[in-house]
Amino acid sequence: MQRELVDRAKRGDEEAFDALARQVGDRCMAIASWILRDADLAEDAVQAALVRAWRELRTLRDADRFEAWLHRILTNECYAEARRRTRWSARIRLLPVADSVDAGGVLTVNDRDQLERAFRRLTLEQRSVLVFHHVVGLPLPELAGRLGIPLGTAKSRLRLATSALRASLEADDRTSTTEERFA
Amino acid sequence: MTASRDPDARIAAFFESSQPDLPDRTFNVVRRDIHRTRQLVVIGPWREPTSFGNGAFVAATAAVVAVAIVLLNLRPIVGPGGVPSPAPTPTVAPSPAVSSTAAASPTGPTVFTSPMYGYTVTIPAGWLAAPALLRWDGIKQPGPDAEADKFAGPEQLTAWAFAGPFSGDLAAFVTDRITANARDHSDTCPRATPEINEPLPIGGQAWVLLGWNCGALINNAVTVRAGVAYEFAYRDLGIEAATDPADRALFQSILNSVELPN
Repeated sequence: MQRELVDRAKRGDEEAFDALARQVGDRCMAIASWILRDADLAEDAVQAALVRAWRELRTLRDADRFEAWLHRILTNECYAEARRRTRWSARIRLLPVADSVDAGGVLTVNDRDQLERAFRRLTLEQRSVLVFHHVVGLPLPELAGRLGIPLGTAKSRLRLATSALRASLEADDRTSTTEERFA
Repeated sequence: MTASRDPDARIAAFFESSQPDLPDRTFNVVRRDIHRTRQLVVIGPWREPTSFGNGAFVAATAAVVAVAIVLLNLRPIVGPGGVPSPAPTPTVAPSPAVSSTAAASPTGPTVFTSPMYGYTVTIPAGWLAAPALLRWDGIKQPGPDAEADKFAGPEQLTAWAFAGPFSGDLAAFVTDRITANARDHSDTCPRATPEINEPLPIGGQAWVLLGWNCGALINNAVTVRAGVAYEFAYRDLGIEAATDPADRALFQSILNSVELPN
């Protein structure tokens, strides 16, 4: 179904591309929201990515790779939006904090806060690797291909980013333990 | 520590939180914008990966890559007093897909003439070429975006080219490029100076080759002629080094085919 829509869109069928965009739009929004941590910028990045995908669609060789190809474009647009954010920093609408307690009871509100702050300190490239690994669920080799980076770079970024998130939790755990000890 | 306090479990749970859906207004804007946007025309068919022999693949891909040419991410024009002059206003190219003079040739090299920047380059058979849609404005990040002519080879190879007015000499342009890298790519390409910075004579024209290991091979060939600076960019995602013999040979051969406008 998606392949047929891609083939039609490559021939200039705007209706087909609109249908494609609606199939993949929410997933793209989730990816962009994670990378940018700002809803307005994420919308802008997805919009730019979809228009660019339309413009360059005929360069896509394998219609079955449409979503992977779009994700690479989207990631680049996220980087571009982030750069523009430094110029228009006043225009920021932060994403609402998700539910205070997750369904599995694994995360505390404090954990989420620590992770959110640690995540925002990461580079965009590190965030992207985490997002495609944890949110999209890609194994490293496919992740590297989707982001257009060497496998070694993907491994390195994932390791560093994960270490930073772990460190934020462990530092907070140690602080909490110390506070309990002296309470 | 209990299993539920395992940092990795908490990190995994963190990424399970829901994110907002894309609002309808964005779909509507996209629909409006694509109606106004021409699709790029592919010049020449892709060569299927299966058509490359194992040994020939690297060489073939290298050749393909070389095609990418380009313009540098030109900085704002520097006037005689060293004060940057206003960047030129972006200009929409007149039907770039139609104005391209490149010919499709599935069996042999293709001569691509840049409708935006006026140079010609010979690209290997089977490569794609997409002309720039906008003239580089002197502000945006350099790279394979709308302001660059783009050339795509098999899998890991990409090349692009763009150009713009520059009042300095080649040495100044090289310095400008190195500065731009530090400014725009310090995250992925943290070296303050390129690992390769050497003269690259091509015909009677002086060029400089800049080589970077940015987790992938990035080679830029830059030159200045008649007040216009040109940059050809060549990227091989399959090589994690600043240079590679096959890539170097291919890039050189492609650069040898470049003819700049007078």
